[in-house]
Amino acid sequence: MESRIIRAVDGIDFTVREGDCFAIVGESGSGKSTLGLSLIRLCPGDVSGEILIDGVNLLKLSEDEIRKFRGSKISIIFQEPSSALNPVMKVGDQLMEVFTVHGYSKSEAYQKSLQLLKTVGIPEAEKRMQTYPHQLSGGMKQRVIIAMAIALNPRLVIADEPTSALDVTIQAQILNLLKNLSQSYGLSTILITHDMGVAAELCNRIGIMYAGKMVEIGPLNSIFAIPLHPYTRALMSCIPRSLKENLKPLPGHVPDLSNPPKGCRFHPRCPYAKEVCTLEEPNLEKIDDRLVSCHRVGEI
Amino acid sequence: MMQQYTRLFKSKRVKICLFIILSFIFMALFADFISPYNPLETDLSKSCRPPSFEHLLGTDELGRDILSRIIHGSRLTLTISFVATALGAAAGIFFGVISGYFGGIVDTIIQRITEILLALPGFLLAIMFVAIMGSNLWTVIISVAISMTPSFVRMVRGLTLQVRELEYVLAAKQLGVNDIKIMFNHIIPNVSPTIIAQVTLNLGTSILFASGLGFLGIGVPPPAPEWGTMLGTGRAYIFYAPHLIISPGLSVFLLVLSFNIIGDRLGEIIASK
Amino acid sequence: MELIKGENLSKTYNLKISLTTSIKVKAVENVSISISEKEVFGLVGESGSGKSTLGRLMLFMEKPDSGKVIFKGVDLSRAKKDEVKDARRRMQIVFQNPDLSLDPRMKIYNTLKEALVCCKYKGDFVERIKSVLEEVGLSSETLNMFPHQLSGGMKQRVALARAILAEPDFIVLDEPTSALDVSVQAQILNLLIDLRKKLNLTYLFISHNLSVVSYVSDRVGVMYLGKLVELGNCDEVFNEPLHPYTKLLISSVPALYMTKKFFTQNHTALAENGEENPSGCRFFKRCPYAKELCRVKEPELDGDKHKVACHFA
Repeated sequence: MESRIIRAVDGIDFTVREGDCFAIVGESGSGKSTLGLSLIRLCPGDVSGEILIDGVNLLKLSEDEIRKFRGSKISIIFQEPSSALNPVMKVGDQLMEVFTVHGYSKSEAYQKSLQLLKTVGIPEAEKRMQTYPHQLSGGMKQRVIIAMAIALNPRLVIADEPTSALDVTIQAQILNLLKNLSQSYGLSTILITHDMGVAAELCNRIGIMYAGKMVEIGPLNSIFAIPLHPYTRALMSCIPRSLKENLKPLPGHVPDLSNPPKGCRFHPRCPYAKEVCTLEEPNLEKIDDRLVSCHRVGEI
Repeated sequence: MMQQYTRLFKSKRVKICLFIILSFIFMALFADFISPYNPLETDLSKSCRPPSFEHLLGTDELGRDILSRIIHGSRLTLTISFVATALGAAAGIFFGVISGYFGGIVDTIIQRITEILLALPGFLLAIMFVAIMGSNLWTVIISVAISMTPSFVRMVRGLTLQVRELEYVLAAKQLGVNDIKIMFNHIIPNVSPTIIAQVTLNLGTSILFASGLGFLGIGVPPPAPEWGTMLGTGRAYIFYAPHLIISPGLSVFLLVLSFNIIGDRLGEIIASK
Repeated sequence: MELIKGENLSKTYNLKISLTTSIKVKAVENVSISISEKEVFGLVGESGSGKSTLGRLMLFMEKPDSGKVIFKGVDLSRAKKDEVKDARRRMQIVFQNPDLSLDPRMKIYNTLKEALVCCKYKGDFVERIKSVLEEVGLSSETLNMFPHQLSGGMKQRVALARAILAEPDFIVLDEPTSALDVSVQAQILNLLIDLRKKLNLTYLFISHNLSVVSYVSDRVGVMYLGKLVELGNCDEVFNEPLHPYTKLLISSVPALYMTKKFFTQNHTALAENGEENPSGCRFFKRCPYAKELCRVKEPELDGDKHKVACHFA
């Protein structure tokens, strides 16, 4: 079989502080989901580098240790709520399982699950424990999944497009819930999304990914106010807002990651590209409160 | 699409199976040149000889060379298998697409008939047909074809139901493309990958059916060198001269197995798309 | 000048839930809309609101259970078969999913040729197809490619080219950019706006994305559970919404796209299941202003230019 090596994620460094919400924003093919999966070591390919949580390097743990680590220290919420729950198992039993496999007794598990369902805002929690996933709406399912993710008080939750499959009104509720949870539990969150608006609702720091690389990292407000990287700038001007200002679309499309362009990966689409951009890959440089990887950042 | 089919030939198993099938086809095409003896020529003085240099696979109860009969038999077997499967698949596609595409009363009628036919075991259906029409090459072919048509109708109908609701079909309808063109240009090409896998599997099944009929004595009538018939007559000598049934049995086994393995692999490739 | 009108359209589907029982889903109930020439009519609503079904009913892709579609003065439910076929060709559609919009086993040229054959185009096929491809921003190399060789945005452009080749007056755009990345979405939106001016097209733009709809539309209709609850000029509906559901929708959009908030966050956390309220207003269970009247009596879509279906608007 023909196969190609794809560097979906290439040399990425970032930190998330305790209680912080960090958003990774990128278009499809930017490698953002791969990054999310590698953080929890669920990614099929080879991962090199260091993933430190509270000083523990996840990449050095054995399979057994990482299994214990997942759930108790770090957990993940996926995009599609309907496929993340077992369709032939009652909601309550699935929740209780999270506790029983980590050594709680059945009655303890039941009480804790009930409490959790109330925490994530599910009405009539006792009744919901006895229902099957298909009897719940998409928003309710996502709440149950969030409940499972926070069940063991993890330090970090990775949310991979948690609201992309939901309607806007439900999306607003789920974002609200995530925000409240992280405030009241001091939970750190990494939100992976293609939607700048969703990132803006939930996060205070943001990293923009393009073709497997972080191009800009910094506080949300300052990035949205004055985007420094040309790609961030282009993304911002692609968003239709209620004002009828004209959209300035970005030409071309995301490069093939098995054969990325030389130099800066954004240069073929960049209106400011110069010769140096085609030759040398820019590094993330500190500028005021953020990191930007662009050769021409001071000039444009 | 082509890449998927090239993936098929990457597997070693498939290559071996393909080699077996191709060598039987080669035997069938050039039977007149490569068979060492006339498959019909009897010589009672040489009855039931075990394999030797003179007769590589031995001789049968009437002293006919078994190797020559196997070689000539492959011609019969493959003809039955290919023609019957082609007929069965064609009928299945025809009725299946019509049934699934138009729905309504047409669908109801075709489905009821299909259900009745499916309620009878396919082999029984084939026996019934041959019993009524008498046995010769064509009735065997048609009976095998009829026995496999209902399952094709079922499968094609299901696939058609999925495809006909897809956006590109709806777009073609909105443009005003007529139904026959939609069926030929959009539906059939898009259900064909799954059909091809099923056809391959059915090539194997049809060989089993045809030789089964021969074994029961209602297949292609003797003295034609049909594998099933050879098995049927050889059965009487099973302890005395087992080589009479080993060669035709092994031939059926190898060919059916090869078709099945390739069909399974094709199915896997299509499902993993 | 009015181009197309749907009058009292209703469509009910039978949903089989088991072998013996089936439930009736009223996808669209008694909806009337009228779209003028060269207008962009936006249709917003959440999943299950019946907005796509309404689009398909307008195209006569599905026959309404009751009500009629009048296209250029011709009542399609009473017209002859040929007239319907001709009218339908003048109403085209672009779907949401670029992967399903094009036949995967057909070269782009053949897909596009189909449209020309159908409108009995007399001139040179290749010339015409190339010029339309250029209009939608594709090079002529695309002609010999298969859909899987194209990106999502390019596939949507081909789907748009197919629609344009049929020389339509009216195009239903059913979530045309929902499956695309923002940068590609912006390309397609601008292309749609340009094409409308150049070719004098009329659009019915269906989307769940309010900011996209507000960007392209002249007028908007808001659907909720099969009913039109609000209808009016784009600016009015988005700046001064009258129906509580419209207010909820707008408030739910991330602030980056729409800054108006009519509800606080506590309000948006209303019970989410729009359970059926058989006799009264459909939004009753979720509405913070609901009164007894709303439980018993269903409000009618009422008003002059800015219409709303609410007792207390």
